[in-house]
Amino acid sequence: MNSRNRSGRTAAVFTFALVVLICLLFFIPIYGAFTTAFRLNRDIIREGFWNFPLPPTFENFITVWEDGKIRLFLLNTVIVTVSATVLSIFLGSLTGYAFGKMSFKGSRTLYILIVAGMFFPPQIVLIPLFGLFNNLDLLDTVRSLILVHVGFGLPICTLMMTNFFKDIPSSLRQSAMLDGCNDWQVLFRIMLPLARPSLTALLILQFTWIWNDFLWPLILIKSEFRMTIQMGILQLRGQYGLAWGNQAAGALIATIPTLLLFIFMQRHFIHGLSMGAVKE
Amino acid sequence: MKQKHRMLLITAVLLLVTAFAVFGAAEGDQKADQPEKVTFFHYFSGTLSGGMDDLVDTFNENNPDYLLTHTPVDHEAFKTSILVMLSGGNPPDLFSYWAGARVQFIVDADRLEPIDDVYEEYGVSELFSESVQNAASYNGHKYFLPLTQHFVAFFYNKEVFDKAGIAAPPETWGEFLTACEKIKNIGVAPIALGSRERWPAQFWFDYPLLRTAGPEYRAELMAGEASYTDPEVAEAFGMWKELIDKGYFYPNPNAYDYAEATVLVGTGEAGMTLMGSWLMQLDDQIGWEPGEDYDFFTFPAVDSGVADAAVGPFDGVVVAKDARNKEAAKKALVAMAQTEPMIAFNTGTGALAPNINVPDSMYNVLQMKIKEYCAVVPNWAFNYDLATPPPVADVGLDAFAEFVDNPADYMRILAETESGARAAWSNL
Amino acid sequence: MIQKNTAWQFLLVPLLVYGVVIVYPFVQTLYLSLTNWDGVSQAYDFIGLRNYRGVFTDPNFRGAIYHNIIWVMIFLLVPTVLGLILAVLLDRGVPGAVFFKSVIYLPMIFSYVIIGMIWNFIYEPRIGILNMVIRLFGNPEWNYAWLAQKETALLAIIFAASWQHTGLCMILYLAGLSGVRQDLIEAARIDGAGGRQIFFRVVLPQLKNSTVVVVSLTIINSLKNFDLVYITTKGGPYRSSEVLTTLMYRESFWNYRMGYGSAVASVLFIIVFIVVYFYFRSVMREDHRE
Repeated sequence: MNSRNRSGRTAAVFTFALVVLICLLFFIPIYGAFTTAFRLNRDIIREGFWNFPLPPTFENFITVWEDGKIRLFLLNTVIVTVSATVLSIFLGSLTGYAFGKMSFKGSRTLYILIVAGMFFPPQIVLIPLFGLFNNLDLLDTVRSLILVHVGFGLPICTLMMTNFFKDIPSSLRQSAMLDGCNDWQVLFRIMLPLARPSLTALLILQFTWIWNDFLWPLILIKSEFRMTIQMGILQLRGQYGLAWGNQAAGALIATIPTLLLFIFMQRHFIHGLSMGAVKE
Repeated sequence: MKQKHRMLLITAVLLLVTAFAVFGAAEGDQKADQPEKVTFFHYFSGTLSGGMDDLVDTFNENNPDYLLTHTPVDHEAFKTSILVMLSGGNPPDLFSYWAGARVQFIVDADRLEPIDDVYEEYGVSELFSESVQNAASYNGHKYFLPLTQHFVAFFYNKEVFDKAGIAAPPETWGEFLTACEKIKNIGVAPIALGSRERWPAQFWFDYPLLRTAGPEYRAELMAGEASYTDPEVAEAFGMWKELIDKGYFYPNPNAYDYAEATVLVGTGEAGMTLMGSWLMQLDDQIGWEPGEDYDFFTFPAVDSGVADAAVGPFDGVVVAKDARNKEAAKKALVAMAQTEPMIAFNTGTGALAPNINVPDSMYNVLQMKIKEYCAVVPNWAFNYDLATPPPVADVGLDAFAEFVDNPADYMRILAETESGARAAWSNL
Repeated sequence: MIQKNTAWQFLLVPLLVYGVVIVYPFVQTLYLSLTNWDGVSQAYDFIGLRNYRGVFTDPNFRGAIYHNIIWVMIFLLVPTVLGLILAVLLDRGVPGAVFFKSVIYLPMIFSYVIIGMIWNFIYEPRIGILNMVIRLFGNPEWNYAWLAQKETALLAIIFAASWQHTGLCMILYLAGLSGVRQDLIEAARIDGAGGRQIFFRVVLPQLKNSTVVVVSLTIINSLKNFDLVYITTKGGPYRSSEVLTTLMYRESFWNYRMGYGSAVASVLFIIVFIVVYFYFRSVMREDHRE
């Protein structure tokens, strides 16, 4: 008994040590970004990316922020991200309700067709979409970005909302309809308020993805004043090619929104990811 | 059943397309009573932007009937988008482009408007030298208005050269090798190359080839009439290989971009770099003075029987064939060609302004020297990626990057380059 | 009948968007892949399957496929297994598990642009963290360029991507573990099974669903990746990190070969389609059993 206990404790210590080690390794890249952002470029060039910033300097952040462009990039990104997130979740609620609570012919095929879009590599439609937006005079507009993100967000929103609505007892809908509600009222008055956890999870997922997207702005946005933050970061890299500190400071600024979401809503974030993917 | 689905899908698509078309049209109507809009799409962004804003404002003040709007974009974004904009029949009226094979490509695709009248009727041809005008002519017509001219040479750290005991910049290949050896002996890498983005390596092929096989052979190679397996090409690579084998290059060229390589020269970790005059834009970042801390010399002569030639790109503006407002676009070109805009646009970029009337006062010491040299050099060549069509250049640029890492394999690399280039030519 | 009409009311707008953004352009890509459009000219010819024939004889395409296969294999090994191990370890109630989980999740909030940038701080040959460490413990002259050598460029990118992907694998396995039946584990323990046996015989079989999801997502994510490669190497040096997505981009937008690029895109679609097909089939089968 005693020896088993001891071996159990050894195993626990070993496990703990292993976890700590892996997490340390995982943290190194983030550490590198942080120390770089808080150090002067000339120190970085002399000492490398490794050293701890003592004392930390905020000069890089001030330079990047006062340059002004990054504020514009942030604003553009907020506009795109918020509208595309809200719209895609709204449309996903509609499809989710239709697939989850109504039965109609071809529903399953259509459902699979839409949900399969989750896996669709966006590069495949790059060329025609570019051409289409060009012909519609939508190139280099924020609207085109929103439309694309709504389209590509629809699959995951449909998947999660369908799953959610499926789990709500149909009796709820039937009794509401007996009370004279139509389907729209059932959805907006009864179902959606119940769906808060799923909506929150989707909100976080969609926000993170759209915020972090690089491919679509790279293709669709041309003017500097319409650029999103991810393109802006890359531009910072061109502009401050030799200024590692400024790049890192810009990168950290660009991560603040997703970081805040992550810190304050981690539970929903995890919940959303696991629910969306594991549960069919 | 299945047909029903398809029908619905198609209807849905059509509906939305119509919706957007209507949306777009409605927006177009709103602009009807405003001044006629002329759009200008260009890659003079960031540090390259020069005086483009001023130029546009001035044009709009002088031409109240038109509203010239410009969209500066990043180089890479420009390359990807301009093609599809052209093909979609919805191009900008004016856009920037690189003289040489790239302009030729879109001229051949019937996408550009000839601008002979800009040169002839508006007197623009008096503003440019003969050789510059040649760079603007394709298939017998003028299509291109040059805005900047850059020049590629060795830019070197004067302190390093002094320390190594190099009295005068090398003028022959033998002197060049001696200079490299001297720099290496004081523990400094003689040459920095930053070829992460591939193109900086091309000058190491352009110059040796021009100095040994000459401009005519090179033109044949760029036009697909000669082969990368020719002895001429092998000889040029052999020169380059000798330098690599002797350890004259700073390690890992493919890990750095051109700016990082220039910084290595600036900090004295390397002696020199073969680069275009646009590196002067890094002066402030590096903190060195042209003429004081660094200077340039032309690529040394190898074979005295071969005529001298200079390498460098021209950037300029073209008019789209489908431009909505060709008249205004051409007027804008005439405005850009004048002395004042040329000065505003080229100051601080390291470039020479192609307009012959710009005053020398806008140039620094090095630019003056470059200007003097350019006035006498008998041959001007575009750098590799502008001299040969893009799909071919793509093959060659990869070959240069690979060669930098494996110089010993250069015969294999050249054979592969030839077959890749052949395939690319056959697809054109 | 009435129900059906209501359903279409709900579906009309979403389907319109889906049609415009995904279905219609997709059909057009298939069509363009049968032409020799250069992206500039207005006229182009219908050339049948010539692009596809070109694709399969193109050494660069074969290289890209090969790199994608390497990517898939490493992705199936490193982040997946690491995610599983971490999930199992952290599920057991290691002290500070919540904190450790956060550390592993954290990379998921970064964009590929930023991931590419911060991994450059690690791989940079002169002052990068990795070479600094190697110089500290080994060769003081070491200045290997991880992203600029053909031997390591692809691996370095995949490793950076794995760093990000591990968190997702761990989440999915943690979700699966929460559904593992404790009574079965207890029963096995009473039967005298060791920890390893319990894991492989009792726990892992119950994680089959999670594994299907993890494997499919991992394969698809490794095929889809464009951003990270574009930002770190653009497929270089000399195509040693070229994957299908960057090849498509290069041929279409750099080399004026839109038809050919569309053919590459279509092949990518076929590969993804096969994976998704198997994924749905296995998920559906589970569904029917329930």
